[in-house]
Amino acid sequence: MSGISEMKLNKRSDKVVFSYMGKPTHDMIDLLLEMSESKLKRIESSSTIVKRIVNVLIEILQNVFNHGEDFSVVDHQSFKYSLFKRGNDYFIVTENFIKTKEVKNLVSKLDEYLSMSDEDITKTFRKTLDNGGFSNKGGAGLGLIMIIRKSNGNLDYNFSKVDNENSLFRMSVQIKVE
Amino acid sequence: MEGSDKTPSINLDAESGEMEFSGKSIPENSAELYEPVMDWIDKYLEKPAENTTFVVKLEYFNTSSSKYLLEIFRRFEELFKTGRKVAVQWYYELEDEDMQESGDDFRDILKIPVELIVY
Repeated sequence: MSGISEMKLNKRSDKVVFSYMGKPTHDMIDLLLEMSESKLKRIESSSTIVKRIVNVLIEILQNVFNHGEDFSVVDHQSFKYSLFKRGNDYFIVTENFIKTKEVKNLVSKLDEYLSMSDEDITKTFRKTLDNGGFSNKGGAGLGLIMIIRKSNGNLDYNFSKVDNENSLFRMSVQIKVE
Repeated sequence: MEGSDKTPSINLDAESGEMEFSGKSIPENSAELYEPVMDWIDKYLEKPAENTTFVVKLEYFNTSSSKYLLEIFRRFEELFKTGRKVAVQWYYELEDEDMQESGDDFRDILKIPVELIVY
């Protein structure tokens, strides 16, 4: 896995499929999904890859909407999303604000899932689907596991504290194309 | 029920015991979509048909929808345990490895027959 700095968009050599900066509203997330899928279909011939990227995007963008904090009072560019192609592989990079008190729990979950083998992540996904219940934000607690499973663990992240209450969460997911 | 860009077409026929979900199931609020379906299924289970077949032909679905799908299949598992015929037919397109994998997930978890069918 490369560090998150290597997963940043390189404007010279990477091909931008889609990028957005703004508020993560319901309507905007729907539009981002629709437009990203339509642009992907134009440049990627493998429908398997297009569907995998869209599946991962659905979870990432809906997670941002469900769990991300609206920071628009301070910064109108409260959410950043870009999808780009490097060589044959695709990268989905997002930035959004979350509550600082939630960081510890998110780090602990991410590190736990990222340390698992493909086989163990599949087992964990099935176990969580079977027993997980619904979280208080309406999700099934499965989104993160699904993202890590479909990207074969090619996920990097970091946090930076904005103030005592809010942190910036940056995540990069790589979908490898054989 | 007619589908939309984010919700599936849902056909439920109590008389024939045939049910089908097709299209996309990616709503932010899955409860709003699936709770009425669960209510319908609970009523159906009071007087089920001889054979129950549940067809899934989804293009995309999010993880919160998968939780509800499992809840629905669990209801049919109870029916299956009473000796009734119950089958899930999980359709996926030839190149759609992820949808095939999802079918495998349900087949692994459930005790009712889950048939994976390429279309």
